[in-house]
Amino acid sequence: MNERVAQTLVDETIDTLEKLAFIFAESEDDMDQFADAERITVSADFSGPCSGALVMEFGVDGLSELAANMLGLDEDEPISEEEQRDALKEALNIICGNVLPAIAGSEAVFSIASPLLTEGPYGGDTTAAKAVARLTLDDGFIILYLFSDGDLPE
Amino acid sequence: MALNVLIVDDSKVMRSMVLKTMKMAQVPLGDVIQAGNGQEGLDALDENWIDLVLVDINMPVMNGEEMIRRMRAAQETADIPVVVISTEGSETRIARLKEMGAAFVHKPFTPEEIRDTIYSLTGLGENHE
Repeated sequence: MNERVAQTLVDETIDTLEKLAFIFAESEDDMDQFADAERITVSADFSGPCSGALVMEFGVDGLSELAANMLGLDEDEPISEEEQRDALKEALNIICGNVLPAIAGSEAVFSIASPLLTEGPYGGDTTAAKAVARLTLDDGFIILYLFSDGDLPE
Repeated sequence: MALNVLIVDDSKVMRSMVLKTMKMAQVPLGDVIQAGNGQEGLDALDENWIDLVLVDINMPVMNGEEMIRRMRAAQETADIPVVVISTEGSETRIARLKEMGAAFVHKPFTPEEIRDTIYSLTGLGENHE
């Protein structure tokens, strides 16, 4: 586990959620309280100086707030399931776009594929992740896994 | 002067955010056309009079960098102001985009960043307080 990269994941995610959706996240190591919580997984493959994927498990309870805040909707305004899922994909896209140069440097050029979404927890081997970030939100939680085919740039 | 604007992003939510942000920033808007990738964006330019293009970079089918390159190569679209709104963090790629005359706004963005960039690029700021 790369602790420097894990901290970068935490910092960039907190910063992105605050600016993008006025959602305040906090780093939290103990996620036992969310063990049985319903979640949705979104992932984005990337290629460049290193290739891999950023995977995010997101607590379903926080999905409508994320989308409503991104779109600037009032509490009583309806928001479709499609919009909620599209908002989650865009949030991951922005987190990934900010994390990669923070890790690899501002000269590195990465291509990020369109995020893909699946219901439920991530089905892959999370122990293979190079870095993991766990955060709590007002409503829900986020777990981020960064996978890379090779060593991450120092 | 109201601007006819083309917003190109593969995320419908992001297109809505960009539009809402422009309204919040009181950018004078005329017709607003939306497209989901660079090719759709070029098709929209063929069919509409557009004063300003706001475009993402990472998109399927055709990315924003290629769309801008093709715009600059065509006489009808070569001079249309372009704002890239992207998560792109590479200084190398941002420099390439700026060499093509595009302005750059980093995601996540604020209404002020969108307003100031558009006003600077189009000269609208000279007529608005």
